[in-house]
Amino acid sequence: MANSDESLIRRFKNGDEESFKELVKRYQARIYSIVFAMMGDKNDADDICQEIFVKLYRSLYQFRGKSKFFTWLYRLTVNTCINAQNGRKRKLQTISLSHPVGESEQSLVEFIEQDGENCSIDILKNKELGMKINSAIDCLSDDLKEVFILREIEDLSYRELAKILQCSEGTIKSRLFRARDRLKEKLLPYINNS
Amino acid sequence: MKCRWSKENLSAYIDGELNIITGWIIKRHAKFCPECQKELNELQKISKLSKLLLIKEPEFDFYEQVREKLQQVKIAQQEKPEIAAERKSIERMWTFLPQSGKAALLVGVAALLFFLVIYPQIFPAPSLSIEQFEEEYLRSRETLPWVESPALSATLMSAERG
Amino acid sequence: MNLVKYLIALFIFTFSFILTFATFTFPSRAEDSEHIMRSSFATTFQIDFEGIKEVYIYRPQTFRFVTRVIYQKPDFVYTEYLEPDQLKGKIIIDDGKRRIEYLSVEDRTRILPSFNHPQMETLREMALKVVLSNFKISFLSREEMLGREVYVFELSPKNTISPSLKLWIDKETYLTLQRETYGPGGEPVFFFRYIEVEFNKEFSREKLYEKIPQTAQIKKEPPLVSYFTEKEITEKLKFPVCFPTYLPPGYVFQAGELTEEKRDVKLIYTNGLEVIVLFQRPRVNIMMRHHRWVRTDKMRIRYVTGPYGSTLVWDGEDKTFVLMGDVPVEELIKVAQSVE
Repeated sequence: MANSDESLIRRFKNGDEESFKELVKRYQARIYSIVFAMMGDKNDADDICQEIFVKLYRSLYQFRGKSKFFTWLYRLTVNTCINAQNGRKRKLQTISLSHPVGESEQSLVEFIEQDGENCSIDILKNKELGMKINSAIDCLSDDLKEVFILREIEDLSYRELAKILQCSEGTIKSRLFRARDRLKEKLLPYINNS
Repeated sequence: MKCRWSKENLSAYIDGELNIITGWIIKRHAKFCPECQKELNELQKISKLSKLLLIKEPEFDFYEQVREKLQQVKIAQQEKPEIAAERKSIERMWTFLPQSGKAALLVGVAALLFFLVIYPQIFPAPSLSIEQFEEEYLRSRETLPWVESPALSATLMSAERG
Repeated sequence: MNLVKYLIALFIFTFSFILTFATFTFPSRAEDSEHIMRSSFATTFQIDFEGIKEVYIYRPQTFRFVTRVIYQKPDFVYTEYLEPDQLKGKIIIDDGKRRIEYLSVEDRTRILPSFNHPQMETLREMALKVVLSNFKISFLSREEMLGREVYVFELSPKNTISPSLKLWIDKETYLTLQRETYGPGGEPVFFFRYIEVEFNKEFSREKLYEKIPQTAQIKKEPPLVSYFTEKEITEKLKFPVCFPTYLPPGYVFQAGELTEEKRDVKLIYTNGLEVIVLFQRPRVNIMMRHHRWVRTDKMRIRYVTGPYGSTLVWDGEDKTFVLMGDVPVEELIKVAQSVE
């Protein structure tokens, strides 16, 4: 039977390092997806994800279990991303050799994942749609972006979202509505063609 | 009027966050209102596509990277008291140094600075940014007829220079 | 007897028909393909042309650029970026003497030596020779594209690390209208095609120059660049130069460049499509972000792989080396290890 988050944390507090590894493996993909979507930049995502888990390691002893673990972890994630965004200078992004693949391209030239060997025009069209979606998400304001990303990646309920983002459920509902409305506005011509 | 109310609730409807009655009203309304039905389809499509695009996998050795970073943090914390001790011992040395020793040291530093200004080439620049090498590389590359221009020119121009 | 004569006549007729067909319709003979390749290398300097070009680069994400390109005989090239938004309005004008790059977003101008300068011809000629020796050229078909007849060629590499290419070359002017590049594993690396073309169009160069703000910088002269052979480099330099003894398959020495103080050397190697560049200079600390390490018994190398290849940095006894190239990083490591 899989260990619950709580039992892993208990074991970690008793000095079992392996349980921390299990926690990282359990959440790494989800946290990474959130951070990548928030930052729009692979290397920033790598650095910030590592930072989040280091923070987690150091503060896990203080976790009292009043709220659910994942609510706590997502709040840590969102706060770390927002701090990083505030700290990051808003300047023209570059594609540069010294930046590993995928670091900053998204802001300079919208991109999507490579999806196969073919180079046919159809695939290019699909890629274009992906590019449009990514850039539309990127254009959302931070408060709309975070709630939309958390909802779409994690399928969290409005109540859970409200806890993580520390606002009311009504605010979550209206933000999601606004986020989707903006996306729809930008993507309508592409969605209907696809 | 009803359409507007319905549209405002479609987002919550696709998230399954409406109570049973409101959900049922929306469902029924969308069934008979082609405009709301269309909007519902569009929202679902966007949600589905975004989900596909947003989910990413970290690198396979992610945990190892985290562990390495944890080690670095631990080492940095351990080093701190040593650095403090070192600084104290240097301060102590300076206080115990005779006046002539202090003067000699200051003259030495001044001479070094003087030479640095007069003959900067004696002291090679302490550090260079990799970007200037990249620009040179790209210039050589782009002189070939079949390089992937014009993308490279973009890099050339946008590369940050100090 | 008559029958034999008729047969011979028929044979000669058929043979000459086939020969004519083959010569004028399909470039089936090797020298024809070579001729077309050779012409396509220099065609941008022999036409008056305007086109809209769409470029895709997969590294591994997809980048997309759209540019307006103007060629004017004998050495004028104008490029204007239409997409993406962040580069929109970027203009490059190369008039054979200097190259002006203007980035409207930042209102910044840069002057470089011209890429169409007559001395570049030697480099182009050499690149062509290397391409012809590194690739097997095969004629695939004749097609129609943008209302023009095109030859479709395939270039398959004679080694395992080079890319393979497919070219769509305009029959009349030899301009490449579409090109697809595939990596050694068959994955797409690069793709461009013209989506609009107009030949024999006349332009006013002045109008094109007007698009760049006439700041004082425009009048600045570009830095001088001279190319040297391996021997000349060794003689001119103030310290002994190191040359690699290993090069990835298909690569040969192209040229060397020196800085004015003759302290920095740049050695350029090419396979006709790409370059590998080795910089060496008195020891210096080179700042690099997000690098990884590779350790061999002799040295510790920092490296990073970006959209246009990999960069390796390491220190020798009294020198610092930087190696850049668009080949697998393992190949670059081998080159680095062989530097003597």
